Amino acid sequence: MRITATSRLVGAAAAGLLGMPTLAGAADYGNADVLVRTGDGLEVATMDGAFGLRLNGRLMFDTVYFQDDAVDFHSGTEIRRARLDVSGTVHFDWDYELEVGFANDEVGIADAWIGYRLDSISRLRIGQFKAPMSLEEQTSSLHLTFMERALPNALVPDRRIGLGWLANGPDWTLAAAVFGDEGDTEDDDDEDDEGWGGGLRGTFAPFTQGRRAAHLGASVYYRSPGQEESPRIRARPETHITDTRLVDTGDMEDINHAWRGGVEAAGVLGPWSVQGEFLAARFETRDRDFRRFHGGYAYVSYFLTGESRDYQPDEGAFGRIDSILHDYGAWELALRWSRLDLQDEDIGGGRQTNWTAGVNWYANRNTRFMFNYIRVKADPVTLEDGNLPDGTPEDLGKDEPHVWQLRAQLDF
Amino acid sequence: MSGSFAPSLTSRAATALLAGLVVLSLAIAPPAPSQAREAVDRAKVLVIGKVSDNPRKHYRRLKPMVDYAVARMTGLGVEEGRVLMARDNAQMIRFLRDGRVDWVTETLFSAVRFVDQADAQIVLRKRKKGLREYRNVFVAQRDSDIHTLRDLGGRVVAVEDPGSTSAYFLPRYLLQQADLRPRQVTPGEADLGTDEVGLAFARGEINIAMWVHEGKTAAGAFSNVDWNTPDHTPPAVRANLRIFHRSPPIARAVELVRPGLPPAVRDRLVAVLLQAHEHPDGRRALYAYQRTERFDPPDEALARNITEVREMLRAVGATD
Repeated sequence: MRITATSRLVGAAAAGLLGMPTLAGAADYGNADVLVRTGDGLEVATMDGAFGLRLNGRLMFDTVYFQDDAVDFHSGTEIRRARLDVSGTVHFDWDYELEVGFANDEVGIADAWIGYRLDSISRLRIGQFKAPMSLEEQTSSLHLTFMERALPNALVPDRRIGLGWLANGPDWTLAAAVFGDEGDTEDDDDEDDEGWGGGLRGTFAPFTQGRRAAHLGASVYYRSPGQEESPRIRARPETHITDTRLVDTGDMEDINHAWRGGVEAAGVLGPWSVQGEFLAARFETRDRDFRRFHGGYAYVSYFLTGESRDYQPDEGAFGRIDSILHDYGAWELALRWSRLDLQDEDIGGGRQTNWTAGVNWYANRNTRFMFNYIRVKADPVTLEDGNLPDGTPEDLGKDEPHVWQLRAQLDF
Repeated sequence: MSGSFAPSLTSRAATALLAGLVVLSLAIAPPAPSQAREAVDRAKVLVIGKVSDNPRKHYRRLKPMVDYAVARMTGLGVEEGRVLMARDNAQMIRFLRDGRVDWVTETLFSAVRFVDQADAQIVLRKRKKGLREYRNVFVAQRDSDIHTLRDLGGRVVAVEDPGSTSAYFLPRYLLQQADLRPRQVTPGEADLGTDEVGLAFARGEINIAMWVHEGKTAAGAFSNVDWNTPDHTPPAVRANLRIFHRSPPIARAVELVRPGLPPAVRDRLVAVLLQAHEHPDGRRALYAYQRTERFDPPDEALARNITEVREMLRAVGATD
């Protein structure tokens, strides 16, 4: 790709604006030139690798229609995500990321961390970032096949502040982290506790060859909640617009610690792909009682227009569909089954099984439109604190609404 | 029931633990070499570079390689490795002439220009994943009437972009050798003389295959590696195309050094790189270095390629 005279001028102007014609810390036997590049957001970087800053963002708008059964859901529209991400490098080996979300008139921080590169395969990270668990969790919301992550994502811990060590090779990744308090998170779907914990995730790609790939992964996570806190697992019915949760353990008292584990598998074969996970959690009370919950999902997707999902074996996650083959964009069909079982002997959190059919249209590599139709089958729980709307009959045996939702998404 | 379970940590203790871990990790992490010294003795630094449009990404590829080399340059006064990238060939030529970059990795087309215009010296060829060379291939639809380069007279060929040596210069040269006159056009160009060939820029390997497959252009030209890469030539598309001409093989990539580099440093660098694939940390650096398998010394085939490329550049009238 040629750098034109225009971009050189822009680069020099940017350098002048940022007040750094010569950079401290850069090659000191001469000036380090600044390059401006686009295509993946906006990036400004010095030519000696010392410094770089990148701006990205994402916008998602949803509209949802509910066909209620027994529980009254409210159809509507929302700004699902409106986020700005700044990431970059300082002084060659130090990286950083700051992601801020503005949806729902609230400001929330997603990732916020400082990193240090130890060598060509490993790095340290301190700050707020995702727990090392679950393929769907690690895949960016921009590149998920369905509008929301599946039901068992409720068992995956949310972002927290901690210290992590990450390593990867061409076909494997390993991530280990210890976490402290809960940070200021963007999405409030998961349980809500303090304390400390640690997790480990490893992934391996037995083969990747062009448009064929296989992924295997496993993770484990331990958490000890703070004295004052009661963990809680609950899930929306794979649509974000409602705060009604049909399955909900409620606040669990006297929890000493919790173990979580997950296994993941995925495969890509040309335009076809499959993906599935199984997740389980076991909470132990101070009286040595166990509360066990589990969930899983499996889905298949197919590109009518011939593209493939982009698996990144050195990241252990899926990425962007980079090459769209036709002028009219790419079309993808997908079908998912998912389940979450929050029913234990003592905790009746309910059970839910969803079937989702999805159609995605990728207008170009940065824009897509999504349609999901969900058939929800829940044995819901009615909690005292009102997880269900007022007026819902008590002792509700089951609820089987249908959900129709559309999304428009753009990122830069 | 004997024994008692460990009580959960209070959050204050957890914070202390976290702080301790941070301090510990900083203590044991190797300190970043101080790259911001006031004045640096140029002779103590080995600078590696390449032409790049993504400096942060390429820094990660070049730094391990230069660090590996510098670690094995004991006794020569070279203590530190640095990276400096150039925006384009013209800037790299200036860097080589001014002595700001010592060692450059490049494709052969650009390398020959560096030799001719900056007096740089080609010292090694790179072998990537078992491939030492590549060929340019011309493709057309399976049932088309195009079987030789001459059949392209009056038709349009998809090529990548003006900066790409494999997908522009080489096809241009080959067409000229077939007594055709290539010129830049848009894909739908119809106004071509019988001995003219239109070159339309598809700006992306996959676009080249798609344009031919969809009949937007009569033919396309790219490297044999692209032909064999499903992301660039999807199987469904490839099934509808065939290769009707292959160029002679061209060396993929070479390593160059600047003219003023002390011979002792140059010779040690070459020796170290030739053996890098025999050591685990060498292999790690090679892998980061654009998945290089190993380096090979220059040979007859390379010398022939250099002459051919020089001739191509002259015939095509390439400047910059």
